[in-house]
Amino acid sequence: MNGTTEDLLRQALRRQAERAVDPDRVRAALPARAARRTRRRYGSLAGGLVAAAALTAFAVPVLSLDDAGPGGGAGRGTDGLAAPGSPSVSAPAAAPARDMPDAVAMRYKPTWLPAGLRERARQLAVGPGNPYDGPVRIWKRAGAPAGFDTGGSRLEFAAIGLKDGKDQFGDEGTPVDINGRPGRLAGADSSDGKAYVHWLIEPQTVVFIHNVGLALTTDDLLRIARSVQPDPATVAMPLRFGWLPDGMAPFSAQFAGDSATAWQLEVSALRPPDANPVPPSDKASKEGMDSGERWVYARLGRGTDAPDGGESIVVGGRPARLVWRPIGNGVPGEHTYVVVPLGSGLTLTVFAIVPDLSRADLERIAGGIEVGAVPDLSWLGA
Amino acid sequence: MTFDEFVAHRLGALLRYATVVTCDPHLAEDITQEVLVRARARWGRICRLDAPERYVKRMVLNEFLSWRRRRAASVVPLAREQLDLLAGPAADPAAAVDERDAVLRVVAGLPPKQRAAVVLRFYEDLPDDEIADLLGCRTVTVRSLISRALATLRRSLPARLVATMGEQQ
Repeated sequence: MNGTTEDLLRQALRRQAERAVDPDRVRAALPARAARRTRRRYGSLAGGLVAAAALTAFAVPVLSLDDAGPGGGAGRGTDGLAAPGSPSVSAPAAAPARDMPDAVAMRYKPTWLPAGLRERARQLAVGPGNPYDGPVRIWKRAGAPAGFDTGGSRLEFAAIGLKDGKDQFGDEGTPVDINGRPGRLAGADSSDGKAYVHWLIEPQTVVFIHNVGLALTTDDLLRIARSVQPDPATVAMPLRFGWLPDGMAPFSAQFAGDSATAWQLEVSALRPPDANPVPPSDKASKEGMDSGERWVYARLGRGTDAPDGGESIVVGGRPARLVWRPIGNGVPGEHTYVVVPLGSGLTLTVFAIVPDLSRADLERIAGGIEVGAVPDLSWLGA
Repeated sequence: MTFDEFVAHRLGALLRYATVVTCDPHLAEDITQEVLVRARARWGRICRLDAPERYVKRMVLNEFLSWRRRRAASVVPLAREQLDLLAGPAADPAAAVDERDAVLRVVAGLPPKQRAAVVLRFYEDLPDDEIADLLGCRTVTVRSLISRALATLRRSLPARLVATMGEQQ
């Protein structure tokens, strides 16, 4: 290859660079991305849907998987499961049960949506550190295969508190009037099908509506915005951590699925980097694949995303299995799952990266999880 | 430099870099957002490095390569924009095919490490040793990656374009 060819290659790459998307929009979307990332670390964390029975068949109104260990799930009623001092669970120093809200207020809702959209997910903040302190609701086209994936073409709706006293979505875009209040509409003329509108619906609350590739018109987006009304509803939280390692706290929760019979609840807990006593491995840190954060995910649903097989263990007196797989790609550690079959076809799966978290701690977390009655999920549709 | 200052000043360049690496503006957006969310969580350490932007770019590269590894079995490696271009002049005889797009089509089809090496050399203008450091390989491997990529370009570019460049074989 001669210089001419190399020049042409350089020109071609510069041309490709010119196709980069608008950085202002990317910057504005970072808070939402941070919220979604809680369930996406290290790739696919949600598995396939399984055939599900009707929710009405759910017959375990309240259970606790661990009523024995220090800091375990006492006080919420049990079905007499736990075997005190289960040998499969270590007994490190007790940490207090972590507070989580029993229910999360929805605050506001759109009262008009274009035909053909179906709500597929509700993301909730259940602890400190969330970029959004309010719920995020996600709609997709009816019939679009979604499973538990909240990405792709979608409509996002969030009613959240100000950040540092300001509308965190800035002043990009053009001014619009939303029922007499000043708002901003951005991306309406972009070619990538993404646009959003936001405004202070009350002095301390921002409503943010984001159209991602749904081919909605600007009129539709504004009509949705202008239809927003207070919503007194709450979303009950049927799963809580009874024990978490020091420095780790509940973070977020997400109901997602294709219908009220094919759903998954995922609740995450986070230990931020500053609270992490274990430094990341050199390789993972060097390659930018370890943020220093430590996560654990508890998933409740009709199936599990854990691989088959594993080692038989006992969690809170119930037969369970511990299964792990190397992360691969040269990254040290293992994707590790504790899978606990519950009553009425529900399965609890607790997931973490080992050694980000020790297996003993993962089992203890699983043993302390309390599962209550599954709330009405009819908003997911039949 | 705070994280917000970094984003304010360098996000555009970061997105352009990611767009060149991925050959897909939307994947670039996705990867850049993912990387920035992670970078923010440990910005206290990153900002003390000699070259924070280079570190973040390394994160973008690793995310792309790991994304490729995760999805290689199921994803067509070209964005719609590039797929449209693949149709070439036969699909749209009224439109002249830009030489640069012809080159991009080939670049987009390169194996990910070859593509990354090409981008680091011809877009970032980095020397072999820095490319080797970013890709986690030896300099001889870098030279091999680039050599193979350029050979692919030679083989794949339309004869008309090759003729234009005076490289008939």
